[in-house]
Amino acid sequence: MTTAFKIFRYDPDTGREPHFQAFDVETPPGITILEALIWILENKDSSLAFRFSCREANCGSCAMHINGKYGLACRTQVSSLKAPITIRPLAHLPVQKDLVVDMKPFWDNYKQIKPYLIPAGDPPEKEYYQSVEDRKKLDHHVDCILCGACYGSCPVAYGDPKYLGPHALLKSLRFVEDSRDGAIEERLAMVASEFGVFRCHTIFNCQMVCPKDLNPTGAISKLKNKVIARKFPFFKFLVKN
Amino acid sequence: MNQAITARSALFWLFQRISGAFLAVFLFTHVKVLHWDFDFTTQGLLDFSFVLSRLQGNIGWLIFYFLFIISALFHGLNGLWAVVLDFRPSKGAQFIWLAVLWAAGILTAYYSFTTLGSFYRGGPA
Repeated sequence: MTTAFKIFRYDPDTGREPHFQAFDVETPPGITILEALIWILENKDSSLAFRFSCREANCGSCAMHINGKYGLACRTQVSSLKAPITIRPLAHLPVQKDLVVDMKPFWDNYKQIKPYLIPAGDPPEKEYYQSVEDRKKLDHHVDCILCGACYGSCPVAYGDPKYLGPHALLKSLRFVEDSRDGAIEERLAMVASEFGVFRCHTIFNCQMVCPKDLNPTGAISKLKNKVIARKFPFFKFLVKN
Repeated sequence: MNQAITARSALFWLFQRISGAFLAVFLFTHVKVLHWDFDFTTQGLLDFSFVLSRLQGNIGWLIFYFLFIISALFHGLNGLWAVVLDFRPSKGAQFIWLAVLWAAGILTAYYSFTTLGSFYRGGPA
């Protein structure tokens, strides 16, 4: 069986305008979009550029726009899509070549939230103990693989590259809720800044496309509530904290 | 990291929601009193004198419409400001937009409160 593909092509070295190129791909049952791209690379056009690594939805390298929805190429079955399958790179990030984008704005925003533990006080003698209950609070956030699907789908990030983005805000909540972290005030100050949680329009795109079924929209709402509860204790009764 | 939570964006976000909730109540009450509860067959046309008689000397309705105006103005203008920010205006353009929105808010508030006050006192001067 063959399936028609339309793939975004752009090579700044050739000077040619961005365009779509059609390919007919051999697609036996069970083949994923990533495997189809590799087939094209090996059999049709060795100049096609795209990122991939683990092939099992763990590394987040192969996020792209597939038939109108952001997702991981390695996790999307060709048989689940209607042909021709149109593939574009992640949105509002500069295209370097074909499906490869410059992730620098994405990582720059991520770095701003200081995505590492900042313990309070001196290090303990043995370990930073965390109870099973406290660890469970992080279950909804730690699985993020930073693929960029949420960032690509977010219209606020499209409008303003300085907006921290759902990926950074989700990860920020992961540290805010970490019982070992001692920088909650500073973290909430960062997410309450001009380019933080209050710019989110609660559109749910990030939640819809997350390949790990996480809930960045819910994380942003939770951060908003935490900011309100901490900054305006009088209104604490209005928010779930 | 050595930052404190800034109040402005958090406060505006909170009051956008509070004013939205208030508006729902105010609008429902306004529509109920002026449209649903008004019986055209027995009370005639809904005219100026009916509105005047309802507001004249009634401190309850005065407070109601005062809060209605405040909520509507804040909700509308703050919503517009959020839309403006989504278009990434320059600092200069932001300043101009803020000035325009503040001016629109102050003028509308002045006109609304003046009208409301004159109705409370017994009719336009």
